[in-house]
Amino acid sequence: MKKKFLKKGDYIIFAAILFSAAAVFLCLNFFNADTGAAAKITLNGQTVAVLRLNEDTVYNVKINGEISNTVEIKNGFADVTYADCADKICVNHKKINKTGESIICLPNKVIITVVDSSDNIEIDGVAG
Amino acid sequence: MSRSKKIAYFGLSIALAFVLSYFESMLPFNFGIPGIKLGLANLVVVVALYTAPKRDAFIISMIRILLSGLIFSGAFSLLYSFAGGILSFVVMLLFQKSGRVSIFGVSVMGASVHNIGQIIVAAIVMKNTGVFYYLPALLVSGAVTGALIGILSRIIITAVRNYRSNEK
Repeated sequence: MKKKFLKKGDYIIFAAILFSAAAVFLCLNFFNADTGAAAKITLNGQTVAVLRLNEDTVYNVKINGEISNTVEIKNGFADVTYADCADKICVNHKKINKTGESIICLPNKVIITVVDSSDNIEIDGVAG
Repeated sequence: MSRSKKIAYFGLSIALAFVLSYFESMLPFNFGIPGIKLGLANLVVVVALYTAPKRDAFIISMIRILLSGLIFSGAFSLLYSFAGGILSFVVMLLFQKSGRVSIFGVSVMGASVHNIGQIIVAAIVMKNTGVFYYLPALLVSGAVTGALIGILSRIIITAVRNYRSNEK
């Protein structure tokens, strides 16, 4: 009753997934590899700050007066150095500087995205 | 299956999936990318898909998500889990029905689609398409963990079948 475990379709599926992953990766990283000019920080979908990457600075995202995430701009990179959530995924995330790259904190709904220009971005509201 | 057998089967399956979720939540498994995980609990769902009526497999999957979501990851992540869970179940069902792939391919597909579902929800919740940057990493991790779960499921199903036939 020995039957072949893997069918042809299995190989196709496995290869197709790896291929599409590689394709998406290449598209995102090589056709759009421009270094960005600023980091846009959004909280709950609203832009709370736009920080220029060429000026070293530290920005605290606050939710109800409590610091939820600390964003540090240093040497042209944006990095999250502190988060009050449990998983610390955003803190462990590598620093970013390419247009479109982002660091996301799911529990706090905070997103840091690198944009190619700090102009033309309206700040929606002032963080309390 | 008799009614009492069915109750025992549901209880055992959900408990097993629950324990696997708990075990997984204890693993120091962090790649700096949200959403990458082993998906051990999916083992129970894949096995159920091949050994129980589809409806039962679906119920087990949904109750498992609800329980472990509420207890281990908080109500907020339930939205992600349900999106991933339902999408992956439907896709696994379709691929299983097609007959062109084995349990291995079904599991790989399930894990990958689960991650895609979570990314789509994240993009909607966050109102940001930047989350798609995680797509390649999540696809690769889905393929790898899906393969692992597929192989394990196959071993379990073979073992359970042998056990049942010895019992008779």
